[in-house]
Amino acid sequence: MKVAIVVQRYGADINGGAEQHARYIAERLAKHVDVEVLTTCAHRDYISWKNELPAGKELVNGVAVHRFPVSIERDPVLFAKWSEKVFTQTHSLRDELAWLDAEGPTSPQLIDHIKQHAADYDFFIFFSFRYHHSFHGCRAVPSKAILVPTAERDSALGLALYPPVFRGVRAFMYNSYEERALIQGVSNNQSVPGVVVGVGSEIPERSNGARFRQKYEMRDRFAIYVGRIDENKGAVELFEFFEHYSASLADSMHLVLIGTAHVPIPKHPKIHHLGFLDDQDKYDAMAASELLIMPSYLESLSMVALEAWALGKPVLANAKCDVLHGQCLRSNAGLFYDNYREFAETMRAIDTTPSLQAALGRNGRAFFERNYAWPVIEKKYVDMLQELSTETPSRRMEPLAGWFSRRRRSHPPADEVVKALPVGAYRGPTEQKPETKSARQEPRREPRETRTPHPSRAQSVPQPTVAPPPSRPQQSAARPHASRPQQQPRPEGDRPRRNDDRQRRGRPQKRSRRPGGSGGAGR
Amino acid sequence: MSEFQIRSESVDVEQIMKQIRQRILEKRGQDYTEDQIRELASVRLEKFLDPKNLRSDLLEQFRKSRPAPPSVDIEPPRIQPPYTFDDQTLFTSHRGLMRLARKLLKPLLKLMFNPNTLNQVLHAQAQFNVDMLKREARRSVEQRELERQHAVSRGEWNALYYEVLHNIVLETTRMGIEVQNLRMKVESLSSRLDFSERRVRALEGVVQYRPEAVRTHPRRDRDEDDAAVMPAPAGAAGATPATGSFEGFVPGAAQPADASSRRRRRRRRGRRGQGQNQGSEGASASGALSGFGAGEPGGDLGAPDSQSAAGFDGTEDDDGDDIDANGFEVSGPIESNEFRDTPPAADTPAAPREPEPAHVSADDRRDSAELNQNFDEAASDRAGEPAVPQPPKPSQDDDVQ
Repeated sequence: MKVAIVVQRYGADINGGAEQHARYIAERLAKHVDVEVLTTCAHRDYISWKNELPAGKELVNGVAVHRFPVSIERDPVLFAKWSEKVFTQTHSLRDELAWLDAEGPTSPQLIDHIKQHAADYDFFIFFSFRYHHSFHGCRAVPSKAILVPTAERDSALGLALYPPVFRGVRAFMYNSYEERALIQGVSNNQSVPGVVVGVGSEIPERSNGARFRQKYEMRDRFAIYVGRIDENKGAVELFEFFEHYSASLADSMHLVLIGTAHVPIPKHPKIHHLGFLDDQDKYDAMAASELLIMPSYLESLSMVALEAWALGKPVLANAKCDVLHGQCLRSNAGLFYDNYREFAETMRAIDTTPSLQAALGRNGRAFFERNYAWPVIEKKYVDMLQELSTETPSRRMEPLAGWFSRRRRSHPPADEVVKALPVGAYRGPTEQKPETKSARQEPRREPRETRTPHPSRAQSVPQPTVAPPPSRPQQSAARPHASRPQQQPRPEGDRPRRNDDRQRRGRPQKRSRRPGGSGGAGR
Repeated sequence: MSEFQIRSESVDVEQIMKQIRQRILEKRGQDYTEDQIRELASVRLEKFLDPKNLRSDLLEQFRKSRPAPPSVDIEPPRIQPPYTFDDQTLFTSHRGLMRLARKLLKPLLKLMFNPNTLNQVLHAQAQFNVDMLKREARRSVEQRELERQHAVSRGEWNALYYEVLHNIVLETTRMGIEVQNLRMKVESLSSRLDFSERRVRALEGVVQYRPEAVRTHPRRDRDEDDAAVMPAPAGAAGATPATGSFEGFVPGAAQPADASSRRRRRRRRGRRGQGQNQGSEGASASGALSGFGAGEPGGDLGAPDSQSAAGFDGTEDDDGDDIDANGFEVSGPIESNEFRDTPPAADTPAAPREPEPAHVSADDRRDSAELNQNFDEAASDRAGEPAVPQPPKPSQDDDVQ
């Protein structure tokens, strides 16, 4: 089986975001299938997509990478103009296509390669739905397209370009339940198979907090923030909250910031900015910290939060970010805040309650190992590929609107569409708590399927009628058998069986089909 | 202070967040929104913390804002007279022929009556009409100006009244807070006073006078009394009176006191102060007394006593505060150590501080520390309890003797 991973940029030295996600997946999938990466020549500059790497083929960490040049660099002024038009005004499909061309990375050679060599690959895994390569690539090979949308609640999700793509691709690999709810809410694509996967992380085997403390002379207890220090990431709000908090509590912990600063960092005796650190120092710092603070408003999946959980550290997340909120709830490994009072109280609770901190950390480690360990991730990808390879694609990509329809100004502003999407964290199936003596003796609770809207938004935002997320099948462990060992909990987002898919889609359950049969009509 | 009790390995984040939000609601008291609280806090604090906004020239402003009398040079609008009358008015006509005929016949008409009078009267009437209209116009203009000025001054007065009221409220609030602070300070002081009184009572109950011990050295006391009358030479006093000053007083001993012992004690204290001024005697005495709370050798204790070094006048002990019912004074050194603001007499040129003698310092300081510990323990045990006589402690106290 040969799989192409299509991503806007690719490189061993590109950190963060969908690019690193794609690299991790490519390198891990390469152990199971033949993987080739199709990408552009853009490297560092993700604003203009400037061609910085040579076109052609090369090997990156043992994975074949085929680069194609970007034909038109992004013009930020033009892009801002089109963004303003399609996000805030009633517009036409032609405007959205112009916006997409302005966004880039526009590489016609890449799209041509996908079209011409579609037969050479069994599947194409496209990363980041919003970019040029994903839209045109998915439309070029819809029957082989698997989309990793990396979607968050941003305005691009409300464009009318994407719902036909979401309904036409072969499958989805979601990062979170909240992301799946967004995609389904905007496109009503419940019939497209999808699984919540996420991504693992390259946690070093040993991380030494003492080494970090010695190297950076950090003797006090501290919370840590890792990532771009930006207003969009909630850093400014974090500074404000932390300054108030540290003023209210005399011996409160310090705050260590790791990452490139794009906003001024206040001069405060308890705020330490260390800049960009290499991975070893970063993990050492996280190991030395008491907790990780994630103040970001929008995240598709916070890899830093997963890394903190992998290291057994609790997370304090911004409740405005549905994904982080939901992950804290599902993992029982983090607290969240929606305003300063909640920030102060949650910080104080973690700061002053070592037992709570330890319990959250334990839960986080268990949550990571259960859902985001690499064997789990790889298995989900491989299972999905194998399952799709046994089926015949039945859906067709909806054709693009005609000449007149494209020019009809009938599409509402994308911001309004996004505002109408469902909000709140997905409570999801109940995670199995860390096993305790008493927990082993009691039967597990029934899985709960409730979306928990955030209290601050539950009343103000009308909840659109969204099809409920797929229910987790009732496992046999719900009826514990004395002579049978308890079944291991299914990881988060594990794909239900086919019968569950049928139930989810509201279709009557028919006889089970044999794998490899020509039962593709159900799709 | 941890408030979350994690009793098992499992935690429920949802439950914890509920508790946290519940606690926030309880702390908040009223269900204000976040913005309301911020607005209230910021507005009041800004005004409160910025006294520069208070104007001190309010009286001047009041005076200035009095409605002034309307100015006299107000120009009324131009008056259009209803009619005009002159000597030709009766004979004018728009037809030239008619005008000529009237002019030719005018002498004839004047023969029949005198039109000049009529002309004058009618002219005067026309002028009177114009003057009256002018007066009326001026009056109305003045009235309007007056009303306008009244309106303006009323607005200014309202603003001033508002400011005065606002300042009154502000000052009242500030005074209220100040009163609250003072009240708290008074409470704090009263509690400290209560504590000190309890401590004094506890120490009084602990430190008792044992007359048997005193009777074992009557000769020495008598000698000391005699020596106190005479001005002793600096080196001759030696350490004997100092060490003897503690004889017979045993912490924890419950013995009744009498008036003679009180007098002896007064005299002894007078001599101690004398000795401190004169040399090593005072230093050793203070070193011994430091066990009662005066930690600074020769300093704190020496100060009051040095004032009466020339001869004991009784003023210090006559107030009775420093002497307990058993005739033993303990509160003097403690109070002097805690509350006295005057610098130690050792710092003054009249009473230079002498180095502490080596033979006194080590043992006596250890003993003093032990005594201190005993007193502190006893005081903490007895705080708030009536003084109960205790049996004498045989071991350490005997060593002190």
